[in-house]
Amino acid sequence: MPQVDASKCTLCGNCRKVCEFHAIAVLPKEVMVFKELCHGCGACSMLCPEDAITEVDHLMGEVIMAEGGVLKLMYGRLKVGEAAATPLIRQVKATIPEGPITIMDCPPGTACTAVESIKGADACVLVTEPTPFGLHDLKLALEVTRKLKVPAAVFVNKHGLPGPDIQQFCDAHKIPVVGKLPIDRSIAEAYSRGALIAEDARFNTTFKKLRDWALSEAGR
Amino acid sequence: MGKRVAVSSTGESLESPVDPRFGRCSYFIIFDENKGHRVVRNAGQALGNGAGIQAAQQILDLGVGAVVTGDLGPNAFRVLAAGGVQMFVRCTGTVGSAIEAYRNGELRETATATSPGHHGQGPHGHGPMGR
Repeated sequence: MPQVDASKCTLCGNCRKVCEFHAIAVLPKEVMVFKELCHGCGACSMLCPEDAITEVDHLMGEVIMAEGGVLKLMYGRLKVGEAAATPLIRQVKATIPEGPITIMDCPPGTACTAVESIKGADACVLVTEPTPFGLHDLKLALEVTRKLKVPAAVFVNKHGLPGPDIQQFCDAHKIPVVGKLPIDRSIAEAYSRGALIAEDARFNTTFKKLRDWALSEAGR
Repeated sequence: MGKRVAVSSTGESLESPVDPRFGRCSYFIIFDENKGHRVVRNAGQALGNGAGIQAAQQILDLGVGAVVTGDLGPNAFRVLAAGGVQMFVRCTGTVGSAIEAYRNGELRETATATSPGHHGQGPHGHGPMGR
C-alpha cells in the first residue's frame, strides 16, 4: 500500500485521480490513504509526479499450506476487518511452486478477486447453472476470460433445472461444454457427508472429460 | 466568500426529502450564505467501493464548510473531519426545512460517524456462479 512522503507531496491530487478503488483522499493539508480499500495495484506510486509515494507492506492476512498424501493445499486467510482480498490472492499465487499441476478454486462472480485468480491460468473452467442468474454471470465471466486470454470451457451444475439452455448459449458462442452434473438429491446427500462426487462411479467419465480438457489446454 | 453548506438530497429541489445516506445520496444541494443554492450530482453514488470517501472529497473540492445529512459512514467522517468540515446528522424532512433548521442553529454537530460503513457493497462479486 502507498506511503506518502509529506515533504515531497504537493497535494496535486494525481494519486486520487488514478486510484480505481477510491482509497485515497486529498485534503487541504494531507493525503489520506484508506488501507482497507487499497488493492495494492501500485498506480498511485507509479504515477506520482513528485515521486512522493513508496509502496510499503501491510500485514493483511496469512498464506497457509497443508499437505495430505500427494496433495498440497494452499490458501490465504484474510485478517478480520480487511475488506480487499486481492493482494492476498496475489501473495498465495506467488507462493505456488513451479511444476506440479495447480487447481485454483476461484471466488464466484467477476470481481477483482476472481480476475486476480484467473489471471495467468492455462485454462479456466466456468461452473454455472441453468438459471437466469447463472447465465447472466456466465456471460460476464466469459468476457473476463477473453480479456485475460485464458481458454475457457463451461461445466453445468444442476443440469435439468428448468432454466435457460446453457448448451445453446455455449454453442452459439463456440465455448466447449465439458460436462454436466444433474440436479440430483443423492449428490447433495453425498456432499453433506463429505464424499467426493468425482469418486461416484456414475460421474467417472464426466470428471475425466473435464480433467482431460484442462490438461490438454495446459499442454500437460 | 460566505460559508457553503451542503445538504444530501434525494432530488433536485428544495422540496425533495433529505437523503438519509451521505456517501450514496443522489444529489448535494449547496447553499452559499449570500448567493442562493445550486444542485450537484454526487459523484460517489454509484461507486462499488469508496462512495463515502469520494463524496466527502467532492464536498472538500466544492469548498463546503458544513454538511447536513442523515447518516455518515466512518470513511466519509474521517475525510470531512480532516478537512475541517462541520457535520450535522440525523436530519429528516425536506432539504428546505433542513437548511432552515441549520440557519436557526437547531442542528447539533456530530463528533463521530453514525453508521458502521458498508465495504464492498458495490455491483460486482455477489453472484453464485454455480455455488
